[in-house]
Amino acid sequence: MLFNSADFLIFLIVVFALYYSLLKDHQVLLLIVSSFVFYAWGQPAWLILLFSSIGINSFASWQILKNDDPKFRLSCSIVSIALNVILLACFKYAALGVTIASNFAPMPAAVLSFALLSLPVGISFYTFEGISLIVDSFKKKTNAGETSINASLEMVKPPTISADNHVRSTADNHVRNTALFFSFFPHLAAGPIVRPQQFYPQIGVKRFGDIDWKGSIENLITGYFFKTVIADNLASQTSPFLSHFASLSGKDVIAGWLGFSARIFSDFAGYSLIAIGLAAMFGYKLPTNFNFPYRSQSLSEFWTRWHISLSTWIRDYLYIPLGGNRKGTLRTYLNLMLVMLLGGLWHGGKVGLAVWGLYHGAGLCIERALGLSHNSSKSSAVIAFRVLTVFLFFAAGLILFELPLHMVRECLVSIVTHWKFASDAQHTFLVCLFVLPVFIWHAVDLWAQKHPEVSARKRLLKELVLATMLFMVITDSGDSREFFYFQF
Amino acid sequence: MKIVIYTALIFVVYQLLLWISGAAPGQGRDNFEQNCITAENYRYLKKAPEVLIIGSSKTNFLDYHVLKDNVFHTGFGGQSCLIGLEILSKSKVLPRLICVEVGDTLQWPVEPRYVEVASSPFEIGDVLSCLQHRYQPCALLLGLYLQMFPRQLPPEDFRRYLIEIQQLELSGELDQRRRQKVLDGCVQARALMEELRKRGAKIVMIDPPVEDSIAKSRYVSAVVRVVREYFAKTDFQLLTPPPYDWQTRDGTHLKPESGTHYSIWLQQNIQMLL
Repeated sequence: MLFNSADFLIFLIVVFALYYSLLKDHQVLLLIVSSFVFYAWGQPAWLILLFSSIGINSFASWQILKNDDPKFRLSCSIVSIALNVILLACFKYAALGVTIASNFAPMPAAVLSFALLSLPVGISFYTFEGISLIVDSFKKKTNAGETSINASLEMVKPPTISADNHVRSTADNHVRNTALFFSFFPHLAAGPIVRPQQFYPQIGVKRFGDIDWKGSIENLITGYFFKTVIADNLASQTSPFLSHFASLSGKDVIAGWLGFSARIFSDFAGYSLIAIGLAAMFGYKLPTNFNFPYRSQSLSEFWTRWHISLSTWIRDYLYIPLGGNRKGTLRTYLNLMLVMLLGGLWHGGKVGLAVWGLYHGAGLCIERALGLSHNSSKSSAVIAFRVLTVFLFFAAGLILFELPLHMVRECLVSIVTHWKFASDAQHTFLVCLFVLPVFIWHAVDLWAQKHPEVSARKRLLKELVLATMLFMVITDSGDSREFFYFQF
Repeated sequence: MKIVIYTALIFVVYQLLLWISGAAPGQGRDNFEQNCITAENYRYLKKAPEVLIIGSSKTNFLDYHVLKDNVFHTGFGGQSCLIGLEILSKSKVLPRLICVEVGDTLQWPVEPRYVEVASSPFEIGDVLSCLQHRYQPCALLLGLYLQMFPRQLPPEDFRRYLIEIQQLELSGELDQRRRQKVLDGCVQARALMEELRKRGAKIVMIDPPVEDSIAKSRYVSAVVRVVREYFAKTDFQLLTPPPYDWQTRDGTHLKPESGTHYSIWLQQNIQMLL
C-alpha cells in the first residue's frame, strides 16, 4: 500500500480511529495486524517472508538474551545473521548471480524465473533491522531484548503465576514487540531503518492527548509536498530525459540530471517525513533520515545528512567493526571503499550500483587525503563553492546509480556531442520550477542556522509556508507514482 | 488548526483571483496533465460543438484558425481515438459531425482516467475551478511562460536527427501480439462509432499525415495496413488527404505550414459533409 494512495487514506482513518477508541487496550496487537494488512495489500504472498524474518529474529534474539553460554550466543548470532543475509541475497542479488552464472553454465528455467521475481517490499530495510537486533542482543549493548523482557516481567508478575508461565509470557511479549518492531507500517516499506534501542522502549500504551500534533502535521505536509508536488512532477520531467538522452540536447540531459537529483531527494526525504509524521500519530518517534543533505560542505558531511539511518547503520555495524579509522591510513581508505561498495550494493544487485558505491568511496578517500573532510572556512564564497562541488559530485554519480553501466559512457558522449542541439526551453523551465523549492528549503535551513532566534513573525511565516505547501499538495500534485525506494 | 485556516484562505484568494482575472486555461506540464486539461476543456464546453475532431496528439497540430469556430478537437497525447469515442459515448449531446482519427495510433493503450475527467457525473472542479487541472497554479504559470516564449520549431538538423531515430525505432516487424492489439482497438473503435452513428451523429474517418519516411517505415506501414483492411470492410468514409510534401516537426506532428494545408483541405470536406 502506498502512502499516496486513496486506499491508504481509508486504511489510516480506520486504524487511527480503532487505535484510540475501541481497541485502545490492544494497541500493539492492532498495529501489528494492521501493518500486516498494509504489507500484504499489493503482494500478499510476500507476507511469508516478513513472518519468517520476525520468527527467525525474535527466536534468535530471545535465545541470545536469555542464554549465558558465550559459545552458544556467538553461534546463534552467526547463524541468524547468516539467515538474514541469505534471505536478502536470495531476492536482491539473485538476478545478478544468475546473470554471472549463466555465462558459465545454462541455468534451469525455475532458477531464471525466480531471479526475475519482483523484490519483496521493504526486505532491505527489515533485514538490516533484523541484523541490528541480533548484533545488539549479542553485545547486550542495547537494552532492546532486555527492555522487552523486563517490561514483560513487570507486566506478568502476579504472585499466582507459575515460573513456566512467567517465562512463556515474557517470550510471548518479546515476539509481539519484535513483530511490531519489524512490521510497524510507517517504516516498514522504506525505512527509516530503526534500531532496537530506539524502538522497543517506546512500545506501550498511547493516549490520544499525548499526540505531538504539531510535529506530526508539519512532517506530513512537508513530506507529502516533497513527494507529490516535487518528486512526482519531476519524475515526468526527468525520466524521459534520462532514458532518451540519445535524442536530446546535452543541455536538456544535464537539466534532467539536476532535476533527477532533486527528485530522488524529494521522493526519499518525502517518504521519510511522512513515515515520521504517521508514526507520531500513533505515539512513536522515528529517527530523522534526511537533514538537508544538499547543504553539505564535504562528502563526509553529506553522508551524515543523507539517508542517515542507513549511513549510521553501516558506520556502526560495518565501518567501526572493520577498524574504522583506528588502524592506519591505508586501512581507513580500504574500509571506506569497502563500506561504500557494500552501501552501493545494498541499493541493488547491479554492477553500476557497485561502481556508484566505489565512486563515493573514492570521493571520501580523496577528500580525506586532501584534508577537506572538515568544515573549517567561514568565508561565504568558499562555503558556497564547497556546497556546489559536493552537490555536483553527488548529482554526477547518479548517472551510475540510474543508468545501466553500459549506457553511462554513451550518455556522457551524447551530452558532449549533442550539446549544440536545440534545447527544450519548456523542459528547462519546468525542471527549474520544481527544483527551486528543494534548494530554497536547504537555503532556509542555512539561514535559520545563522538566525536562530524565535519570533512571532517567523512562526507566522512558517505556518503560511506550510499552508501554501498544503495548497500545492491539493492543487498541483503530479501523477501519483510509487516511492523510489518502495520495492527495495 | 491555524495551517488549515490559512490553507482555506489561500484557496479563497486564489479562486477569487481566477474569477476576477478570467484567466484562460493553462498548459499541462506533462502528457498526463495535458490530456486531463484536454478532457476538462471538453467537459466545460458551454455547448456541444457542431464538428468534433477526436484522436491523438496528431490532431493538435492542425490549424484551428483555418478550421472554423464550430470545430472543436480533443487530441490526447500517446492515446488513440478510443478515448474521445468513449467520452462521446457517455455524453448526452453529440456533435453533428465527428471526425475520428483512425490510423497507427490505434495500437496505443487506453487510459480510462481521461474518460473519467471528461465524463464522470461529478468532479470537484465543477464546484471550484481552482481544483481543475487547467487552473492549477503550475498550469497557469506554464501557460504564461509559453505565451512569453512560444515553443520554437526544432532546427532542421535536429529535426532530421529526430526522424532518423524514429525510423530506426520503427524498422522492426509488427509481431502477432501487437497486431492483435491493433485489431482489438479497431473492433472497439468500430463498435463505438456505430453506436454514435445510431444516436444520429455523422461519422467520418481521418488520419493526419506523418513524415513520408515514417509512414513508409516497416512498422507503421504494417499497422496502418491492418487498420485500413479492417475499416475497408465497414461503411465509414475515410477522408484521404491529397498527395503533398507533408513536413513534420519530429516525424509525427505536422509543421505549421503543413498543418494549415491539411486544415484547409479538411475544412473543405467538412463543409461538404455538413
